[in-house]
Amino acid sequence: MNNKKEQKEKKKKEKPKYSVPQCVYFIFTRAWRYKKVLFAILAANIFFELVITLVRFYMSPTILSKLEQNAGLSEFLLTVGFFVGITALINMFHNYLINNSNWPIMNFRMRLLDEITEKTSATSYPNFLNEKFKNLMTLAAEACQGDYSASVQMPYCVGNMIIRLILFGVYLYYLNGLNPILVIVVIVLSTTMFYYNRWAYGWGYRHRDEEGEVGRKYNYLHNNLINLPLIKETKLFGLEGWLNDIFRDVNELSHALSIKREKFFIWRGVLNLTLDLLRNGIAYYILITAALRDGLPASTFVLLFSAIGYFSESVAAVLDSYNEIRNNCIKISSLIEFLKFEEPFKFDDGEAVPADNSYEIRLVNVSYTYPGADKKTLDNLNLTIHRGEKLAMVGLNGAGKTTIVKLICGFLDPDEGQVLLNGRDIRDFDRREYYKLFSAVFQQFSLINMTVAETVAQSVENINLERVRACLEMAGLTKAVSELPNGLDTHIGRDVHLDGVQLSGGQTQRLMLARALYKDGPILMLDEPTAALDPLAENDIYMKYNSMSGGKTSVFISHRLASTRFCDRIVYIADGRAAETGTHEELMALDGGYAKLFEVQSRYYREGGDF
Amino acid sequence: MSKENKKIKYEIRAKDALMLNLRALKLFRKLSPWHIELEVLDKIHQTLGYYIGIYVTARIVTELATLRRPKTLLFWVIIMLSQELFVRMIHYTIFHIQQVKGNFMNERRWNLIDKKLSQMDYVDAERQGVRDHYFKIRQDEEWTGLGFSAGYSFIYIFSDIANILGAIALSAGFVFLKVPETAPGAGILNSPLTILAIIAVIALISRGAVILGSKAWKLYKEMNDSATLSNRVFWHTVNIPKDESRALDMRIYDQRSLLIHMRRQSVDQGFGKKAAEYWAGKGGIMRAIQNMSTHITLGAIYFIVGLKAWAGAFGVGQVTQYIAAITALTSHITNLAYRWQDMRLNAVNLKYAFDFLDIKNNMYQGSLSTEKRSDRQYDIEFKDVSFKYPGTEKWALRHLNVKFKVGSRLAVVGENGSGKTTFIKLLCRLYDPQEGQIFLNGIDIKKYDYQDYVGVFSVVLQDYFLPAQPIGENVAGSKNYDRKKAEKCLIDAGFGERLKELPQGLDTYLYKEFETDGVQVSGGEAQKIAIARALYKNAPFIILDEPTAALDPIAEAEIYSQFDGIVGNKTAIYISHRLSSCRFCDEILVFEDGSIIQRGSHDSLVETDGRYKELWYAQAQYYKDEEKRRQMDKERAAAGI
Repeated sequence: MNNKKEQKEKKKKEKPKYSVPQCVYFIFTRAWRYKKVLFAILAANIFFELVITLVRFYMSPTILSKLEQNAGLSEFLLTVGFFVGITALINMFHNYLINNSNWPIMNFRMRLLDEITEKTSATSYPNFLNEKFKNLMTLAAEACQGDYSASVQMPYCVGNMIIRLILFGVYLYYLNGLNPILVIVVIVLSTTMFYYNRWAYGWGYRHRDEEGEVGRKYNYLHNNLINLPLIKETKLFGLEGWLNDIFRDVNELSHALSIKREKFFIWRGVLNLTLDLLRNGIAYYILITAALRDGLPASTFVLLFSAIGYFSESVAAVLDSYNEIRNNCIKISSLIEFLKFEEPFKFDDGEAVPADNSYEIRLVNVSYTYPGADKKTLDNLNLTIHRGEKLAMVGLNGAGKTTIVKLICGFLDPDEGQVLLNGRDIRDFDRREYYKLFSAVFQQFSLINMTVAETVAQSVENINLERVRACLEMAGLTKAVSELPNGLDTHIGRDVHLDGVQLSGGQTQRLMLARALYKDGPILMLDEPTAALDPLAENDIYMKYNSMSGGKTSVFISHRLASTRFCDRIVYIADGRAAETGTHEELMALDGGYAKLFEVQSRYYREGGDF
Repeated sequence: MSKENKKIKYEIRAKDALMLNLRALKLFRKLSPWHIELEVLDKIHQTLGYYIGIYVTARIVTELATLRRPKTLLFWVIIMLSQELFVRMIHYTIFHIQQVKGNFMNERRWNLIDKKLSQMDYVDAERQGVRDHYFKIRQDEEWTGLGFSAGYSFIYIFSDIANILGAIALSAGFVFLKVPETAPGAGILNSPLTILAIIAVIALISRGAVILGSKAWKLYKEMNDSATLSNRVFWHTVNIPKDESRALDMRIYDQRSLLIHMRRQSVDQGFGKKAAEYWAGKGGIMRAIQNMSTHITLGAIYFIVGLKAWAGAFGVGQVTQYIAAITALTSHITNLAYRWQDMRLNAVNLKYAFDFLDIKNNMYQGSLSTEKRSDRQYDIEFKDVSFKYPGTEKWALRHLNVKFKVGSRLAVVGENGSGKTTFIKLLCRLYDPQEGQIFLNGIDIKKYDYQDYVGVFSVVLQDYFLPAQPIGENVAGSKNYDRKKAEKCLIDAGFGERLKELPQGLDTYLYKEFETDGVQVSGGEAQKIAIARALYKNAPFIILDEPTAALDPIAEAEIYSQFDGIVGNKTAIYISHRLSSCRFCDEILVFEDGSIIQRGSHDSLVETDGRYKELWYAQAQYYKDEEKRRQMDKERAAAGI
């Protein structure tokens, strides 16, 4: 209970890191950098909108007054012609301008998105374990995705505010001359209404968790009901009734929430209606008495009556555009915060990685705990991978193998201890340069929808096709690739290209291996690279491992112990430490964890073994 | 090309388009009864209020321009204010009801479409063409609103009709009130021909605008269709870096510049360029002229109404009324035309969506019951079964003959793509074979009721799926279930330890996507829950496709040693890459290129030269006793590997 209160207070106090002027400055300077024409568009838009609104305001009353004054035919026709002509022309230009501003605006957004993509795909990996960073990542994207996103709306809101202030002045001029009381009444009523509405629309914000829950649940079903694995289970286990029940429950949740919401909003309608009627009643009263008393002509009545309407609109509109600017700036603040998020790793400011023929990696007294975890994943681990050595790393699930890989490759820095490359702490290096040393196959990949050749080369130009073929051959993919519709030029994945192919798990794993070979980095890092392969294919990879690794420093991680056969040395990881190291024979003689693991696995393969 | 552009061609005839829209409306009515009726009612009554407002305002202005009687003015002001009060009160009432009623209409509609995939034959649900069909519907709806969403807005045609009627009523006076004969040009202004000429001019302008608009729209659509590639590239490149599972790979292979390059190529150079050309050129100009034309129509109305008033046919009060009414009339006639045009263009998308919903189930569904036999005596026979995936040339299974009885242990092995999984899918009747038959107790499995037939099998597939729902419900596949039994199955599957730790036991939600306080489980644990689900079903046949892929050796050994007891007197069929599991089994089927090339017990197969022996030794060599291993190493060294 207490906790909740605290949280609430915290939420209230949470202010955007960057102020409104800072955010406005950021967007305008970025616009100046990427797309100067946006400033001309904004200025022209302000001009056109002002003219259009004022012409609309004056048109009817002016024509009516010409009728009242019994003006001559040519004067009458000229007046009508003037207004009609201006309206038509200005609207036409305005329309053309608006439509032609779409692309420059989108272009501007794209450049901002480029910045986000740069940051997201290159940021120090530990940032990915940081909830705040991940949150900002979503918010930053929201600020730039879509034509109505904050980064493009905000300049328009500034423009709107200028327009509305000018109009406010124009209407004020007319009404003030008529009756200052009316002006005050309209301002008071409109302001009341505005602040009430702002509070009322805050309902959604105040109930965002509940609304978010409904949305999240609907989305979950919408995205998962179409999953083939679930469809299969639905048929095989008759899950349709269950899934319908789940959907029905979400419907009920949504229904209850919407009843709550609508009950609340009924009062908004009542208040809006009351205040509107009050304003119109007072306006009619004052205008009609003034007309009767001072003998105002009907055309002036029409002019003033519409001025009251527009005036009260413009009061709300001015307040509203400031509100909009502020709301957009909250999002832009997240964008700036994201782009400036601190990098724990050195990149351009780091030292160059020393060039060498071969590399040694040493983990010295390394401990690591994942953020939020209460147990150390690695605890005072010492491990050296010698120059040109082929090391096999084995251990049970959860022993910490993958974390070691992340430390060696420089994705995580140890809490205690050091990772040394040829004796130098890797924290000093430009991390991007450091990554270039590795040819790696991890358990999870990033397959971009490109052609086979582009995937292997990880490039769209200057591809050495000979080398691509050689690497595919080495990974055992030559036959599979030749069977693809366009061979090396076949697109992989169907997210982008409809003619793309979906590779099987085993094929993908081989392709990833080919990619690692093409890169030809001095250190080879393979984390469970054969998990999806059948026995023959797995064996094939093992047989080729020697020629793949060449003289490279290499690490092969697996829980299939067969992998230990072709490595120089084995390290058995348990409880976050290098529990045992040595050759297969040495470890078997030790009769420790490794020997037990080997025993369990080999039991079924040994003849006469019982189970 | 230019010829085509001159005339709008609809792909669907007007009558069919109308029928499609009516069908869509029927669907909406089914999803949320009375929603549409209320919506139409609301629009009509709002329209009514609008024209009363115009009429009353005109009365006030007229009074001010002529007699200026305070009582009459007061009367009209009261009418005006009470009109506003009533109309808005009714509107708010309907609006709030609609908000509640219509709240999940959209979700229900999607649910209907989503569920269709699991209702159609599996072979269709899996087919790329069908999946593309589904995603195209989704893409159209979500990006452009075309399809059902656009179909819904068809009901606003009633609003246009109501508006046109209201506007006609209020502008009638304009036609009939005559200019005094003394006025200059009275003859022309009073002639019915003049009125007709005006109508003709306005209609002509409106028609021109509509044609222009639809041409621009067509051009836009053409451009937009070609933009979908850019759009896909855009989302692809935006989403990839956010995916945490890609983070390591992206950094090692420096994919950052690759993504930005890809996006610039496709979005800036592709769609962006086209869009810029469209708006700067033909498209933008047509839109601008179209926009101007509505203002010219408005001008023409001012012109003629003003002229008649100038000549003395009516006073300033009526001028405001006629201008408002005639403007509304023309704009709603134009709207009606657009609405009709949109309806006809959208008919293509509606047809596309209904085509999906109308996909027929071609698999024959029998009605025989499998009789829950107490002796659990079932035998299965594949007789000369052949199967190929639709749209492919190659037989996935060819002339398959196999027979097995309840109580045996069967292993299915073979390389990737040899037909193992297809065999299981045929057995569970996810597919029907093109040739041959499958029998259960001597009767073709097609003749059984499907739910009844599939009840004979408990299956753990390689790509099983656990919805983010409570663990107990996941095991039972239902909201109401036998809690004791579910718990026992989880314990049998090796999930017992973890279950004890869970805060809400069986009611703990899996994952965090549905309930944020759910728990994460590892791949191995998830597999155990999937096995528990199969156990809960307690069917005579239990089929495990790669049951231990996500487990480490120790956990794998546990499952194996317990499984015999778990399976009991049921038939178990294993598919596995790890041949160690074969040693459990009475019989092993070795698949290659869609056929069974070897069958027999482990002991007999391992002695015979053939594929099984090869597969076995590929794995076993590393675990053989030391001497044999060294021997092999030597051989390998000699072979120069």
